[in-house]
Amino acid sequence: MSEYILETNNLTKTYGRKKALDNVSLKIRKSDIYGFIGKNGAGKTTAIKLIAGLIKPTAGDIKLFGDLSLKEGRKKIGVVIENPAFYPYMTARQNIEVQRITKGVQDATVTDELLKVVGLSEAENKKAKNFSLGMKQRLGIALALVGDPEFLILDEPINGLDPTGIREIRELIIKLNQEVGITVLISSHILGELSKMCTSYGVINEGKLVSQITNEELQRQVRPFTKLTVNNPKKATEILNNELEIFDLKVDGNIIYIYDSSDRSVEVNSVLANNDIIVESISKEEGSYEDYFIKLMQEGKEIA
Amino acid sequence: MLNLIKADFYKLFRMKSFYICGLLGTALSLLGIWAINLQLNGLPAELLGYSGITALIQGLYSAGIFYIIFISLFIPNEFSFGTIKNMVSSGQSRISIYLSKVVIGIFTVISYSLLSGVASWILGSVFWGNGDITRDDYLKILRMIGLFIIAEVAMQCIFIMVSFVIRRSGGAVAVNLVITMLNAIVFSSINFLAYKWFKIENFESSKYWPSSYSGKFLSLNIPQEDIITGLIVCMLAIVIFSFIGIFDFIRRDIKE
Repeated sequence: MSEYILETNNLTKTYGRKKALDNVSLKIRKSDIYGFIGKNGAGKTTAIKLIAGLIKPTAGDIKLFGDLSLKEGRKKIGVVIENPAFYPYMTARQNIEVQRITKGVQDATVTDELLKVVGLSEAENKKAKNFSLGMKQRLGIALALVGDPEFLILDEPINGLDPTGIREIRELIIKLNQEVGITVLISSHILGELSKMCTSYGVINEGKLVSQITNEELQRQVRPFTKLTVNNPKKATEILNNELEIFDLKVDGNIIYIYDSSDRSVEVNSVLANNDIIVESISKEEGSYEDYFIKLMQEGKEIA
Repeated sequence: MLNLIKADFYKLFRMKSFYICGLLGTALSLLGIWAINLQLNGLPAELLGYSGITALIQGLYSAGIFYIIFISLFIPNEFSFGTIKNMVSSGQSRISIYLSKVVIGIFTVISYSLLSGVASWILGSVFWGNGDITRDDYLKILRMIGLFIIAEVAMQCIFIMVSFVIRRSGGAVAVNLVITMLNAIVFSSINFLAYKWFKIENFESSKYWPSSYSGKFLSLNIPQEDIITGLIVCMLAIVIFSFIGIFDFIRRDIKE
């Protein structure tokens, strides 16, 4: 079996002359929580709809569980696209029952288990139309979980939720991933939130996949750093390497970025000054997820 | 597909509109019979042609508009609630999804027609009696109901197709009602154009439309020719309109 749960190869969707998705090649490994990031209209939902079979690609192909034949693969996925879809005139229990019957799941206790998993047991007999947004999202996830999917696709599941609701959904996703072993694709534009649960990321901008990175790589990119502006960056780098044994740094013109979680700015300033390096400015800065992703989008580096 | 049908029935029995439409159709028919009985004002109903059978015919006929309305709500709801996405994304084939709705459409035709027909028959029998009904008459009644239901199922397949194409309940209700109401105007226009453009005299376009047979089949003595032509037209309509509906549903994206 392929190491990837999902692979798309040059997936393209056009509406008239507009390319909603342009040669997107996604790769999602088993057991990942894959954050699919992009601003509104970037093409996230289009990609998810293509994977779910709601729309047809103009070009490219999709492999689910290593197989190009998607009919069987789609039986092993659970999807919540845009707003969670359910019958508002039915209760949470009845909605899950409909999905259970549709998927041919014989074991009726599944409904109780899912209500418990998503924390809707106490509201099981309440009509879904009277649910709060958070409850609707959780019901949507419960519906997607019917039939024990191996791969869960959630499109903007935290949109519009309050902080408590966001935390509940996050904890649920982490639980499903770690305890049940479900691979998750979650799309959002709330980058900071995704960074709390995702193990890898795909960044999409104007229909193009501009980057795919692991969480380790992301954390490296956004870790805290000390920013120095000096008159002689070459000599300053040598001093930092030789005298302070600081090797994790980056030089950009007259600016040196030192990636070190401990704050050594006083020591750095003192050593450089003793070696006749003029330090014009020195500051300790936090890495920002938003800044990093915006930078990625602006660079628009397409991954082949 | 069996699972989809089971799930559709589960939904059907939990929709208030299913019961409301069915009961309204029946109530309207019963109200009509009661009003006729008031108008008769003690006149001999049998001599004027009223009996339990005429009430049954009225009952069968008056249910029609309500299963049009119901199916025009039931199918587009899947699109407006977004639940069609749950079905398609879980690997269910679009043909199965469509055919499952056809089964529900047939079930509503049968259940509404029988509910309204039987209730009307009972009330008509109470008011006007049934006269002498022979075993042969009972068979004719069964044949009449069966043929009527086939003609209505053929029309229902058109309404189902429209509902899948339009995907919005308001639009589907409007278009489906227009289809039933404008029959006469459309047929006379086609007949006129057939004569004007192709010099075909006495062309009866209504012969090729299933709803014409709903009326023709509501009789105990139906000419054999009408039965054969009607069955062919209805069967063709079921196949052709279901095919068009399925083709459109498979081909189009689900953007909702």
